[in-house]
Amino acid sequence: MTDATELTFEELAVPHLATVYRVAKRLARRNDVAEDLVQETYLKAFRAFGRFEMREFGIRPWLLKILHNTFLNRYAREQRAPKATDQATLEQTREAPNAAAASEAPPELDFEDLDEEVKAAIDGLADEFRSVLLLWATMELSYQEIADILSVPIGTVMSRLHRARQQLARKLKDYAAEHGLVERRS
Amino acid sequence: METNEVRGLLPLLADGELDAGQAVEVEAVLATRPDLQAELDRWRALRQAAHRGLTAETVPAALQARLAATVQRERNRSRILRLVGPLSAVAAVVVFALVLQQGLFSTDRVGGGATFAGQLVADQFVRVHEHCAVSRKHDPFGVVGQADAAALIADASDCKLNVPLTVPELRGFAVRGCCGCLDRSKQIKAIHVYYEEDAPNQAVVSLFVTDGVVKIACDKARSDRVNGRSYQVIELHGTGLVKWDEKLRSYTMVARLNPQQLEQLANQIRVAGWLCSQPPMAMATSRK
Repeated sequence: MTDATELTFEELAVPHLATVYRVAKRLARRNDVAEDLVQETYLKAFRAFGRFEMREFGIRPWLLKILHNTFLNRYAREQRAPKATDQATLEQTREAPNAAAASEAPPELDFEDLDEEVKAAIDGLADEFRSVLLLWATMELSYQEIADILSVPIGTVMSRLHRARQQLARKLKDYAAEHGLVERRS
Repeated sequence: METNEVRGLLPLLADGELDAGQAVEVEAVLATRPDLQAELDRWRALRQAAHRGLTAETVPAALQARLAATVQRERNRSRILRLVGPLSAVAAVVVFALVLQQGLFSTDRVGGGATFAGQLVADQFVRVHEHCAVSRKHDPFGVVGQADAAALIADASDCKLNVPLTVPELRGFAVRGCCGCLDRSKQIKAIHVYYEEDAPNQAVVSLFVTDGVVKIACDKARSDRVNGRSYQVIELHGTGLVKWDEKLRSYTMVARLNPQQLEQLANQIRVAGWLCSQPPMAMATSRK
């Protein structure tokens, strides 16, 4: 374990600014709000830097955890899933693999030219699904790492990710159908 | 392994989240099922698409500058706090010391005032006793005959000693006056309360309380210990004088009585019971 005091805050945290900003932007869906979120995240991180201990995965998960908590506190408290939803999510967690069996696979598409559509589809997800999907897609974290950042059980991550991917796949499939992309490719 | 089961595990395989045993099983199925392999490829492509779409964002230059300024400002603030923090503590200690010195914190004055106020001679006590208590009935604070004599004395002592002084009761005696005479140089703060006996001979007893401990210089002084209290005992021209130190103050009783009689009177006085930092009214109540 490396002591964070060996490196300055700027040396450790600033290189991850782009990642934090990207996640913030997709979480907040607005540039100005995303910038505020990033600033608040870095301010909190700076103040808490003395207590930070470099772990196996470095400072990035720590920054994202602060970002996520800041986002929840500032903008999404009222939108956080109520108890009933959480319970439902937990129930889905146990049967996630089976549920996935009945789910749709992603459409047969060339995603190369669909960056904007992918972003729009992600923006349309509910906060709890978007959070998981952002960490999964942006940083290619493991489920356990995502669970650590979001402070939820790994089963919840699997369940939410499953649903998020399903919704993302469906939106892209609908887009492809609307624009004749499926027919064009088939 | 059933097709639906394999299909359900494809996203997990794409994410590398299957354990080695499951992965081998699924891959064995995929080797014979190109349709499922194609589906796995699409899951991977979806993740890559999401990754590509989300990582295309660039950080605005204005945000970078704003962040750098914020961090710098916070760093400066931390430095100032680190600098000001110890200074604040030092300032607090200095102010506290000044407060003690000025006697503004009466509670501490009772238990922690100046330990040594100075030296006096026995004659000074005797002269003030004779002059102010016996002859002149000196009472500049006008406490005699006042229902709130105790409060007046408390005010006087508060003024002189920076601590309100409750008048101790002496059985068979009544308070007849109070003044601040003792040290003409005014270097030693003192309060002088005198009592008159409710008896035909009407003995007059003076009690001096000094702010801090004083030494009384006298060749004829001796020490005596009664009920755990150490007295300095002096007899001078037919006048007795007993002094003891308690709670960082000196208490001196003077009267035309022999030292043993004075010691008996002095033993009635319990400093903790009548010298305190309570408001005068509360102390007056304590007199009953």
